[in-house]
Amino acid sequence: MPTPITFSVLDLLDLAPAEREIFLEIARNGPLARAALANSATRTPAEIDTALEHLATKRRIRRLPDERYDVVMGKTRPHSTLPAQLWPALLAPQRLYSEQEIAILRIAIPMLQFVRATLSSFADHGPHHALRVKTTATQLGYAMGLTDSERRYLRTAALFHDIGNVIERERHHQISQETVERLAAVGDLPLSPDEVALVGLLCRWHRKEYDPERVDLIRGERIRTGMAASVLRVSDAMDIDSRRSDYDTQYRIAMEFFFPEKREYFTSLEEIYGVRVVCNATVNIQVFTHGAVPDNIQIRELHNDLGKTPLAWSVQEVSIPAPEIKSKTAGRALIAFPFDPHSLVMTALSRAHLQDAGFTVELLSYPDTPDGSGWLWGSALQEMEAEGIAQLVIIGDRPDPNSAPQMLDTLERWQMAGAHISILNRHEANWARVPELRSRGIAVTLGTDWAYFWGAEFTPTEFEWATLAALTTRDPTMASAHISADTTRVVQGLLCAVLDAEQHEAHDTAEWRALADPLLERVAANDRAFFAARADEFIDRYATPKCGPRIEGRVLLFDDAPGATPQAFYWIMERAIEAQGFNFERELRLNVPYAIVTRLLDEQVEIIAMNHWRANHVPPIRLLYPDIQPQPQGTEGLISVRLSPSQAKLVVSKLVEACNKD
Amino acid sequence: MAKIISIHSFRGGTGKSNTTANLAAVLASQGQRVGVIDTDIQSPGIHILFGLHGDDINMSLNDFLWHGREIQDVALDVTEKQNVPLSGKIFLIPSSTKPGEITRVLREGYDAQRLTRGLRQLVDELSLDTLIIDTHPGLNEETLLSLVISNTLVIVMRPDQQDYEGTGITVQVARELQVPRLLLVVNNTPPVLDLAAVKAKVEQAYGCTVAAVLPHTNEMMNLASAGIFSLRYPDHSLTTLYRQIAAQLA
Repeated sequence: MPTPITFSVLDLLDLAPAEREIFLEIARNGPLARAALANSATRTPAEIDTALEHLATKRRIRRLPDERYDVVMGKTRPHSTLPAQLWPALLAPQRLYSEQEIAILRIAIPMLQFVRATLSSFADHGPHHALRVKTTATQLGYAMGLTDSERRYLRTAALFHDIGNVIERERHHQISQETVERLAAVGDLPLSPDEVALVGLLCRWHRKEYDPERVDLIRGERIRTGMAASVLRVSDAMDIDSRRSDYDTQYRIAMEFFFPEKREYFTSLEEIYGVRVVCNATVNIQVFTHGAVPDNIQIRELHNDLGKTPLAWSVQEVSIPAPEIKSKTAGRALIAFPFDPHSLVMTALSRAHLQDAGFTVELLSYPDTPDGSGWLWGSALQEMEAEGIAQLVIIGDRPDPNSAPQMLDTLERWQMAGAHISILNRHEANWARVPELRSRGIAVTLGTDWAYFWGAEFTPTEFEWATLAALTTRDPTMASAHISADTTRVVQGLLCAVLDAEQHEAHDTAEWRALADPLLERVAANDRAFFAARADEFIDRYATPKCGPRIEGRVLLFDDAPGATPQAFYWIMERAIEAQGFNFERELRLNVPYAIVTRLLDEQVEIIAMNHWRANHVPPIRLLYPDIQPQPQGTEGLISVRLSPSQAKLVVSKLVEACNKD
Repeated sequence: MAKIISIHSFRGGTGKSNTTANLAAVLASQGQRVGVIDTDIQSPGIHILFGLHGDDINMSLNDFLWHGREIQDVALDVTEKQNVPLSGKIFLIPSSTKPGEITRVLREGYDAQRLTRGLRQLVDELSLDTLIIDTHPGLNEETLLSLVISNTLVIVMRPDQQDYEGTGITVQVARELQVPRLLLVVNNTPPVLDLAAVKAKVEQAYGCTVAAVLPHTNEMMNLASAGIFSLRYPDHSLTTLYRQIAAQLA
């Protein structure tokens, strides 16, 4: 007995464009013959036939005895329509951070907070875990060449995959699926019926049995559901470093008392520095561990989970400190990097590793400006002599879609001259180029912000510096629960040193190199004290506003602030937010999670906006930025943009509105 | 082929039903056979404008949807009731005012196919030139269905901040559903605003033709839905504007 047909206008969104056009035409004009459809529609006869066939398969159309076609509707489904405010989200899925994703985040994050609160005896399955899995899945999705739609469903599933843990651990994957379906049924998710089914299925398939080859058709588009599920499973299994275990000591003591058998889960997390991915022709998951940890259950689980998928990826355990490298290659290496704190540290670390591997290292430094990438790919690397360079390492080039063709040309030139190329880039807008780079045999590294250094052999001290570098970008998925005051001072001092150096107005790469060298030396020498001593200077000179902030709902607003980069002002904003107070419910809930700074800069207004890294009960600020060009630079939690004064005023008011929206 | 026109608002209280009734009256006074169907099953009301009370309604849309009646049998000829000679005709398909009938829709849903076919049948059986669908405010299932069926959508809004955003969403959805023609009517405009400026601003905001900007009118307020304004005040400037809208529906 076939299921009775029901009708909701939302079903029309699940039809491919040609199918929808035909359905609407018949619904509007009454039954039509095929000839009539061919006349009025803008489709070829073949397209019409295909559409009619698909509509018939979906039982949305039937042929009458007189050969005309009529639509099949059926009964309406009570309460099936979406609230008006979610329709724009449903109809606009194309932006990187679409309204759809924002609407979904507003639902998912509070529920995930509850997961975190309820699931006491396990590692983090709350909002931070979901966001990290979402980030990893996005990166791997780009690396595997998933389409925009496939990636979108994968990201949504990443947000909801563990939500079922609120109810029951054993069946949580099925409960997550049911949760997605129930949320959609009450109109809380801006997803069409077919999309709901797909996302629900992905949630269920993040563990236990699944079909890795399954393909679905959504709105006429092919979605490799099975592959997306495989990526989700591995992304989930990759979230196994100490951030997953961010409980404070008292809590741990209590937990280990009541659940001694769970102790191994936590110690195993603490044995892992972090996980990153290096891909060229193959995808290699690198797990960095504190010494050799042969019995680590998290790594064992990662191997198991990967093995259950058809993905031909490898897992490499790298124990730190690494043993002496026995064989050394000779040759020259070139590192090209912009003059920003993160890239400087990564350059210092990469240089050390390259030298350990036997290379003589040359440096090419340039200012961190929007047109930097254009210059790098269009002239600097074009004109430079490529002959004789064995390793070309590109660190932190800013996203610039305009310079993409030149980039590929330039890379090809260098490859022809015999260079191995590595791209170490944390900017999300650059991930889309990963499949192209991989196909050309270029090594691309992906991970959270500590991961972007060349070479896998390093020391614990170097790893600390990598984490410090990540703090200069305020990657919100760092969940920096255990940052010491000293570390904070070192980060601030590093920012100060970089900002001071920028004041010198270097004119060419040699001058930039001269400014970079002393800083690189200090990092390589682990001279934390040098930077820590400059922390107060940083606060005074770069991070103190002229007047206090005003508050609008959940947003702190600073006008006319001094300071330079967003990272500079981040620290004062963070302290100001904390001063507004918080509620403690297993996680810090801030009263005022957002801050926005505006300042005048050569007749333009620079806007810097952020959410406090602990503000995981609200959507990250990047997602709330209005759909106005130009879009800001930055991470999910810290963004900056320069606009005309009138545009800036509009953008700030829209941003404040979005931050305060329920 | 008759024109099927949906009249819609994002929020209640914009004057949608009054606009519907007046447009129907104008078209009928120009000789058209006009059908008006009240699909606002949750809060039926347009029958009041045509001079009917709840007790006068023996059969309604609900009878057609659930009790097997033919739609032309449910239609009431209300032409005579207007107390003004009309060269055309007005047929009203009211919605039931009985509470049990109303909650039934909310609980069970109804046969969308039957409604769609019924409307076409109505047009044929009564030889209608125009069928106007009066909808419930907001983006609910009935409204969306009427958008699917209609050739023209008229959105009535007031120059009010809450209406602006919701109307924008409705326009977006209507475009997604490929409604052939979209018209806006700005109603109840306060005297302080310049009508031409409002027209220009709204057209620019939505990329959509504004059929008319209707000023706030005391006589309309005082009439208070006791009757159809354009028939009571045929020479009033507001009635001229209703005729202007009707002309754009042709």
